[in-house]
Amino acid sequence: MTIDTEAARLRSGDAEVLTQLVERYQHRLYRYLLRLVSRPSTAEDLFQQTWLRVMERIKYYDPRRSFEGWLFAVAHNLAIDYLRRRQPESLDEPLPSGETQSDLTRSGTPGALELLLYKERAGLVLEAVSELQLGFREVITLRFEEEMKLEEIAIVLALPMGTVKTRLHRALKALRLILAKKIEIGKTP
Amino acid sequence: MKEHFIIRDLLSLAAAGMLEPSEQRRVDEHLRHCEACRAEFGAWTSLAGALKELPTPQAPPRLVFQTQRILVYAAAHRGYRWSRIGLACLILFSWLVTLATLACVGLLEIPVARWLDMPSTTVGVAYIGVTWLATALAAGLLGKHCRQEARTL
Repeated sequence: MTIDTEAARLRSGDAEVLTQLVERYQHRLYRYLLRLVSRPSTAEDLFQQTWLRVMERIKYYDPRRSFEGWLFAVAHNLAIDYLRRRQPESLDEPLPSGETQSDLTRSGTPGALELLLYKERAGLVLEAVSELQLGFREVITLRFEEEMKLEEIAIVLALPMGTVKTRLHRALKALRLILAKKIEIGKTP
Repeated sequence: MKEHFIIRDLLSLAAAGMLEPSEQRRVDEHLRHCEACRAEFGAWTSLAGALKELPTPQAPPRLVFQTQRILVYAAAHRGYRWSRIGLACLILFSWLVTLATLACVGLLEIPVARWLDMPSTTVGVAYIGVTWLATALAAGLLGKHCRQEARTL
């Protein structure tokens, strides 16, 4: 049974399908929420809230559109609401290093990146991703971990496709700079 | 030279696979001639590869189980809310039926009133009162049963 068939059944009030969908999306949805909020307990709460919201609002889901996109958009809205209440973040919020994301995106350091392939790559990259500001972190997760297409990301974030591309470009530049700095720090004795 | 800088700015998105086919062709064409951009593209591709290979945090097994239980409970609770509305409608309907049948009962009222030695109006009021009370009692018991069922889920 395809996802969209299941979603159509869910829309007609079949609650059993919902429990199957929870199982199917457990890791992906949890990972997405964890990347956004960073705390496992909060990610778990939001995970449950997302499915409750899905159950409440399933009648508004348009079966002609991607269920995944809709599901992640619901999760996105809940996570953003939560983060707005708890920790308002902005592009110019200082990082732990004292710099702002805007500073990072303005400059760029090529090279040195190849080293990553040989040095605790995943750990370093993950750490660097967690240092990005929310919007950058989210677009990177949706593209590279969820492997969503441009159109799907635009649906989840409720943004024009051009804005999504710009955001991804800036996010990658910021990430690369953070990584370069981490490698530089790692190299100094 | 201008083309070089335009393409350089597209390399990150090219590595992310986010370019339009026409832009991608432009980038591919440029990469064939420009060694510096090829190196830069290689760095972006490495980064994209590293991001795709990030470890996936696994959702705790209890999370799915808990979520499913919450959903079943919420569905039952929603059903319970509808059953309450249904019960209220049933009570109303039975009360209306009582009123509608009052005319038929009226035919029996006089012999019954004579037999009980009571005014016929009192018999009519008693008929309505007893029927309405019995309906409300039945609905209350049914509602209580539904609530208990929802709690045990």
